[in-house]
Amino acid sequence: MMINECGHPLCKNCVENIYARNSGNCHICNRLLKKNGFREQIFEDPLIDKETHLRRKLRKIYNLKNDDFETLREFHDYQERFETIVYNLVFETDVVQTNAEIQAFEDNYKDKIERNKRRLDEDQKWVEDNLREERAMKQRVNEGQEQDQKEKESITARTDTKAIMDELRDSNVAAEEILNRERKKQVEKEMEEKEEQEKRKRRNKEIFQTRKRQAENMSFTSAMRIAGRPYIHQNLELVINGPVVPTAIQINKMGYLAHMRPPSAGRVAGGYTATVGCSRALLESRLDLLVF
Amino acid sequence: MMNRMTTGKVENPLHLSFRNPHWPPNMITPDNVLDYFCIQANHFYDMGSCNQQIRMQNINRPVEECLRTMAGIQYILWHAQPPLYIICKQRRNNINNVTPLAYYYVINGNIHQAPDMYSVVQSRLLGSLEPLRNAFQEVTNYLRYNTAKGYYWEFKGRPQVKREKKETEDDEEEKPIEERSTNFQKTRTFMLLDQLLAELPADEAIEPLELKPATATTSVKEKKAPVFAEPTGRGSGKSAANHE
Amino acid sequence: MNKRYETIRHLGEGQFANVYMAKDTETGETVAIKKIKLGSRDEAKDGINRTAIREIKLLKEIQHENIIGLRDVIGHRTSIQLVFDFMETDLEHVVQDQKIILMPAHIKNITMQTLLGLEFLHAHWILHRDLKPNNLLMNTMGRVKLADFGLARFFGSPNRNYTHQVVTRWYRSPELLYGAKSYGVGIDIWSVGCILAELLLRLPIFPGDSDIDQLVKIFNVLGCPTTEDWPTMTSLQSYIAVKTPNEEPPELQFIFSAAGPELIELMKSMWTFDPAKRCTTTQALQMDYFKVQPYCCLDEELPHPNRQPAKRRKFEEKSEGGPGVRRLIFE
Repeated sequence: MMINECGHPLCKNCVENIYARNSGNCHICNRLLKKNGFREQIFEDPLIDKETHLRRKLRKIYNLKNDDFETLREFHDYQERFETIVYNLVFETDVVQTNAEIQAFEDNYKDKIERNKRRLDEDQKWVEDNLREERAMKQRVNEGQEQDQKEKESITARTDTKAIMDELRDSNVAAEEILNRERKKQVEKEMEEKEEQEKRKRRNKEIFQTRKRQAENMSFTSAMRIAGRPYIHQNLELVINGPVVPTAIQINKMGYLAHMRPPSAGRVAGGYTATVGCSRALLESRLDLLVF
Repeated sequence: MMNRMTTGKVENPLHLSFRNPHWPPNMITPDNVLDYFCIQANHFYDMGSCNQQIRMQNINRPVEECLRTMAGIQYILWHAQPPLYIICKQRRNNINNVTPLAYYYVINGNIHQAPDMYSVVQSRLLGSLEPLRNAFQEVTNYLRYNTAKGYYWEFKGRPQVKREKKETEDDEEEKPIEERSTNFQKTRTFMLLDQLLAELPADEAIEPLELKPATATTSVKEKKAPVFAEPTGRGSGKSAANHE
Repeated sequence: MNKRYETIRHLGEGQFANVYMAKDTETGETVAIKKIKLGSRDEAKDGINRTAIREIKLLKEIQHENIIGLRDVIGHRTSIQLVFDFMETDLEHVVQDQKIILMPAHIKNITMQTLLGLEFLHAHWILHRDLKPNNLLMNTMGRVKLADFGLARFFGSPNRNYTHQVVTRWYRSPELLYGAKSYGVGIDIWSVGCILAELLLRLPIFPGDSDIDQLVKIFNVLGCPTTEDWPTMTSLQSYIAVKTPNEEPPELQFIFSAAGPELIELMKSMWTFDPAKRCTTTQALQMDYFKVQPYCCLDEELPHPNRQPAKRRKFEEKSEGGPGVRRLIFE
C-alpha cells in the first residue's frame, strides 16, 4: 500500500494507473497529489503512518536539545509546542498558520539548528559507551580465565595432600601403610616423569642434530658481505723534475700542432698522430730540466 | 641459433613459465636437465651464474664438483624423478655454506618457478575471501528495515530488459502477483478467513442466481482452504434445481 | 761463474737465451737468470745481441710493481747475464690448467695489473710489442708482471719507421697486419684485449695460421671495418679488402655469455679498429668495469697451477701455437 501526504492509502497498481500522468486528485479528499509523493506505507493505520512521517520531517527542524534552553520550563514548553504543531498538521487544523510558525521558527533558530545537526545524538553516545564496556568486559573475562587456570594447577597440589591427610585421620588402616602407599605412588610418578623427560630430550637431540647438519650447509640471511671495493683509478704522475707537460687536449687547442708536420694518412692509420709526436717532444724537452 | 632475449629481469616471475623449443621433452634425463635449463632464452637463468662461467670456459670436469668450490649464484639439480625435476638456485658463500634462493621445477619440458609459502597462502586466502567480501558488499545494498515488517530483503531494481515488453501486456490484463507470501501474511489471511467463517457460517450461504457466476465462484473457492469444499457441491446442486 | 748467484736449476730455453733459477747469496732471494746465447762466432763478432740490448736499455730505467724488475746485469767477457725477479708461473699455464676456474674477480685483477704495468710503460714512451699470456709472469704472491722486453722500443718519433712484424700473430692488431710502418700504444691495447678474451674463454680467440687468416678470424668475430669506423684504413701499405663468410658478426655478449655488460664494453673499446679511437690504458682503467661488482680480488687469491710449471717453450713454437691447441669456431 502506498500513502501520500494527505494520509489516504492507495495500492501500488492503482497509483501506477491513476497517476500515470504524474499528478491527479486523491480519491478520498480530492486534494491534488503528485505521483512521486507516494511512499510505501509502513504502518497499518494510515493516520499513524502520516504522523510518523510528519514527525520525522519536523524533527529535522525542531532539533533543539535540553541545554539549548536556559530553564527546564522553557524546554518543556518548547516540546509541548512541538506536539501541538504536529497535532495540527496531522488532523489538518490551522494548517496555514502552523506552517507559517514552522517557517518563522526555522528562520529564527537557524544557527542553533545547524549546530545541533552535527552533534552526536544521545542514542549514539549511549551505543558507543556500550561498545566500549563490552570490549572491556571481554578483556576482563579473558584475564579471569587465565587466572583460573593458574589457580587450578596450584589447587590440585593442595587437594592431594589434603586428601591424604583426611585419609590418615579417618581410616583405620595403619598410618604407615598409608604413608608407604602414598610414597610409592609419588616415586612411581617421579620415575615416569623422568622417563618422559629423557625421551623428550633424546628426540629433541635428534631433531637438533639433523637441523644442525642442514643449517651448517644452509644460511638464510639475505645480507651478503661483499669483498673488495670498487677501483677508482688515479692518474699516473710522472716525476719529471721539470715543468708540467701539456696534456693532449691542451696540445690540440693551444696551437702546438702548427709547428708539427702533419703526418701522412698511412701513419695516422697506424695510430701515430701529430699530437703523439708533439707530446713526446715536449716531454723530452722538459725532462730533468730542473735537476740543477 | 637460439632466440635472443633481453636481459631485463622480472622481479618475481611466478606466473611465467619457459619451454625450450629446440628440445623434445621426452629426451630430458637427470644428466642433461641442467643443460636444458641453462640457456640464455630462459628468463629464470642468470647468465652471470657459476654454471655459465663453467660453460664459457669449457671446463671438462663434472659440473657439481666445480660448483662446490666456486662462490656465487649456482643452479644444481635438487631432485630427479622423471618427468619431474627440481632445480635449486642457490648462492654459495663458501665451500660449506649455501643460501637457497629459489626452486624451479621442470615438468614435461615446462619450467616453472615454485612459489614460496607466502604467495601460495596469500593467493588462496584472497581467492576465498574476495568473492565473499564482494558478495557481502553487494548484499548490504538490498537490506531494508521497516517497523511493520522488520528486517527484510528487497532485490528489486535489477536491470531487466524483457520487462519493457511485458509492461504493455500488463496494462491490458491484470496479472496476479506471483511472489511468495510471508509467514505473517499467511497466518493473517487464515486468521481473517477463520474469523469470517465464524461470523458468516457456510450453511447460510446466499444462493447464486446465475450459472456463470457460480462457476466463477466455485473456481475461486477451490483455491482457498479445503474448508469450503462442501458449499461448492451444494451450490451447484441448488442452482441445478433452480433451473429446472 | 756467478760468485753472487748460485744456480739451482734450469727453467727453460728460448730463441735467444737460457733461463735458470738461482739464489742470490747476498739477499737470500730467489732470482731468474737469463743467459744470452752467444750464437755462432760470426754473430758474436757483431756485438751484443740486439734483444739483450733492448732489454737492458729499457728495463734499467723502469721500476714498477707490475713490470719485471731487472736486478743486475752481469757481463763476463762476451757473455751477458740478466738477473730478474723470480716468477713461478705465467698466465699461459694458468689458462691451460683445466683444474683452475677463473672467477670474474680473478679476471678483473689480472686485467688491472696488466693495465697498470702497461700504463707505466706507455707513460715512459715504451711499447712492449710482444704481449701474450706467456709474457705475463705471475709469482706465488699473485703479482702479475710484464716480462720479455726483447721486442720493446721507444715510440713517438715522427720520422722513424718501425717494423710491422712484431707481436705474436694471434695477438697482432689489424694495423700491423695491414703493414703499418708507424704505430703507437694501440698495438699493446689490442693484445691486452686478446689476452682478456683468452682468460674468459680459456682459448686464444684469434688463432690465425697466416696474416690473411688472422685478419679473417678477427673479422669473423668483430665484423669488417668500414670507412666510417676507420677512415684512414685504405692508406695502409698492405691494405686488402677482406670479406667474411657470414654477413653479420655475432654479438660479443653471445660469445662471452657469462660476461657482464661492462666487460663487453671494455673489450669493444680495446678492439676498436681505428687505433686513434682505441682506448688508452688510462681510459681503460677508468671504465665502469673496474667500479662495478664483482670487485677485483686480492693478489693472493689468484689461482696457481699446482703441478710443476712446464719448461718454457721455444719462442718459435709459441708464435704459431703448440700442438693440440683447440680452435674456436664462430658461426
